[in-house]
Amino acid sequence: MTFEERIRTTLQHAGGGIAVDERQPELNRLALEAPRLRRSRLLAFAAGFVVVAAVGVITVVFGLARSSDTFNPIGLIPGLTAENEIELIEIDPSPSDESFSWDWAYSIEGIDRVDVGRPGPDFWAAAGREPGEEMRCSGANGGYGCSLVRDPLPDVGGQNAGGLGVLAWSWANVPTQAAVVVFTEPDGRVTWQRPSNRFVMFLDAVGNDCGCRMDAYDAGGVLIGSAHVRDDF
Amino acid sequence: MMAKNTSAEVKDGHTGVNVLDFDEFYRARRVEMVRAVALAVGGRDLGCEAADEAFARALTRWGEVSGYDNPAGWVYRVAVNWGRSRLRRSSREARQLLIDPLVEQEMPEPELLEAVKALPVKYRAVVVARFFLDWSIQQTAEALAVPEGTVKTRQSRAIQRLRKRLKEPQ
Repeated sequence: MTFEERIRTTLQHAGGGIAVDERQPELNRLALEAPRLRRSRLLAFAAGFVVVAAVGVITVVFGLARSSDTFNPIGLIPGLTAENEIELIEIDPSPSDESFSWDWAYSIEGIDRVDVGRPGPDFWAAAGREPGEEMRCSGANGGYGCSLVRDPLPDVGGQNAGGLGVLAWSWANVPTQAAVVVFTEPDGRVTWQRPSNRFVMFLDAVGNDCGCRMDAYDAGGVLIGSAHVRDDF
Repeated sequence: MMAKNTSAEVKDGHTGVNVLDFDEFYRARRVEMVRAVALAVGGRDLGCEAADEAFARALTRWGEVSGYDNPAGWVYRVAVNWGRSRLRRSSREARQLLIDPLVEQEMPEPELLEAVKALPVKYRAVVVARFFLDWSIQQTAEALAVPEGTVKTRQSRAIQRLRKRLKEPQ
């Protein structure tokens, strides 16, 4: 049996075992709900229109023609191309335990996952302190690092990506306004990423203390913050 | 003499769509869609909610959706996208697949299912479309509104990840 056939067998088996409430009357509910849905959508549309109009005015006033979602930095920031964009993929976080409460997890090509979250009771107990200070932690392969959210320094962490001399560098508190973060290696190689929940992650080919830098730009292409791997890790 | 109405059309008073067509589609595809979306988003309750939301949206624009080659593809895409956007807000309970215990006991490769569940949703959506729904590359691409090349890449990377997780040769 090929690997693809094994996947098919497993999914067919699992899918067939998912008990689904075959509530046919649901159809009538759906039909009845359609007009209600239309009304609620009309209201949502009206509310959305007001919001969009307000955002439009603000955008024009401040000259920010593009939002971070639709912001295309290629051509605006030197060195960025469609090919050197690193896609940050959001995945389900690891189960939380008494030590850490993971809120998000991310993956990029080359590293399976890095969890991001907050310390739990066990962490504070081990540190001999009362919970209270807001911290952000990131972890992979059993290791983790935490820093205070109020800490003005960039929260930069290194994650081993399989003992290949390759590290994934994460920056967990990029400025709120950052639309793009550019990762530059010592030899001038550039990759870039759109942050998610103030988080970015890049692979480097050098390894420990690579001397790489991460620069955050806002939607206007203005540099608003930097993190230096050598200085901060 | 009054003419007997034998038309197979029953127009909804509000939407004007042929509810009978939709009724058939819904009855024929709901269970399969709920299961597929549940596998793709990693939770039965969330999958059920997402599929119902997508069917409700399909009903409101059935005139358009019924004209597609694969209306189920449209429902699958809308449901998976809706489910993804709800994932962060949903409870962990909502993310349980809730497979029948008897079926789960006889699962041929539980570790493979766990590996599939660990895939990012965008990869899982492709794997489920290809291997659970048995859609072709083209059908999957149309359903998810991505190029065929993207489906091939995601499928290949997903399989690569699954093999790696199961420690099998690439």
